[in-house]
Amino acid sequence: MALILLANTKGGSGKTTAALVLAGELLTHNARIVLLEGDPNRPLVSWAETRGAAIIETSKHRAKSAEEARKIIEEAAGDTERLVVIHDDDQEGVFEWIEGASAWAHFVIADPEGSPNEWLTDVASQADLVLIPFAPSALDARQVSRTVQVLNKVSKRTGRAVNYRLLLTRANPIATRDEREIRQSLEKNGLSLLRCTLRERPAYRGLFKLDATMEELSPETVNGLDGARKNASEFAREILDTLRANATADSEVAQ
Amino acid sequence: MSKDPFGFDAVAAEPNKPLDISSFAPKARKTDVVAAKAVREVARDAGFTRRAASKAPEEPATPQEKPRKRRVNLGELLGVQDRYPDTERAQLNMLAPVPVVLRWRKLLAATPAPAWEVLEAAMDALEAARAKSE
Repeated sequence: MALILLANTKGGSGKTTAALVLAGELLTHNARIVLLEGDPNRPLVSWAETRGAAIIETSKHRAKSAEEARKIIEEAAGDTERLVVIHDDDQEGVFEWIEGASAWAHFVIADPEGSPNEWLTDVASQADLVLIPFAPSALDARQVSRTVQVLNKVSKRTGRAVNYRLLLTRANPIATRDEREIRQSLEKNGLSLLRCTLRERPAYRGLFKLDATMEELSPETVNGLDGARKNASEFAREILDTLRANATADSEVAQ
Repeated sequence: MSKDPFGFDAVAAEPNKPLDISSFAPKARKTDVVAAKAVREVARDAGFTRRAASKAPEEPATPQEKPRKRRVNLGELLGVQDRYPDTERAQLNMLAPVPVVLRWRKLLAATPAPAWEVLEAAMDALEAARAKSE
């Protein structure tokens, strides 16, 4: 199981969109997914409710242990569901829910609130990969810097490497000079960026508008669907490659 | 300049190839307790806050009677402190029989001092008389 956290202390950076794109893509490859939501605005619950997907709200389903959390997840999923959305509204037992989800899911994708909050750092302390989405703007770049600083402090204090990658989101469909300069500047400062960029596409907006996954969208209702699907596929592949590379590096360090 | 400066094509060399998720099979894992504890300090140092729990929107509750806004509660104020610092002021309103009010006004008119000083002098006199009788 891999725990992936989307982290940025600023809202509107594309965290939830990236989480849904990744979850949808992994679902098409038969993975079992837990979307762990820490955002009080509940965008993932709203998305899941309309679809009739399995939803767990932690204030209504108290789990005193990881074992209890696992049972609740299995019960919610039943025999057919491969996606469970957990909305952590009481924010008291996120570690139990992660442990419980690890026994059921291939991937746990955590989407926190876009603010400086402890839920984000709690999950970061356990994450296999932290993705920091940001739009190509000076304001977003500053928030990235704050998030990275905190993750570096977490690494230092815990003695456990926090593997993170920056993810450029909401970029123009065609790479601009600004985007290239931002990439070069961040790389020059030793920050790791994913090669893939999630570009501004009608299909990504359609995920929320139509409460669908990428696979469920129809080319008749959404423009540029092929390009978006290719983009999503590239994104998921790079995430998996990064997770494997991190796991290999961690095991070499352990030896 | 390279045709693909960001390695975009390399990532998508085989977009239709099934993703291999075998190395991510579900497996119970234990929380790294040391990391979980240490991270709290980092979060607080960085000004990260614990947010209030977010509850699902509930059915609108039956409207409750709005508590009537009270004016200054003199009893509470007087019960808390024997005497206010000189710099603080509170308003004192009271209803009294008309003859008493007329007597009060007449007294104020004859005294070149603020009303509160007249009241204070009256209270001092009352307390002194009470102490004398005891």
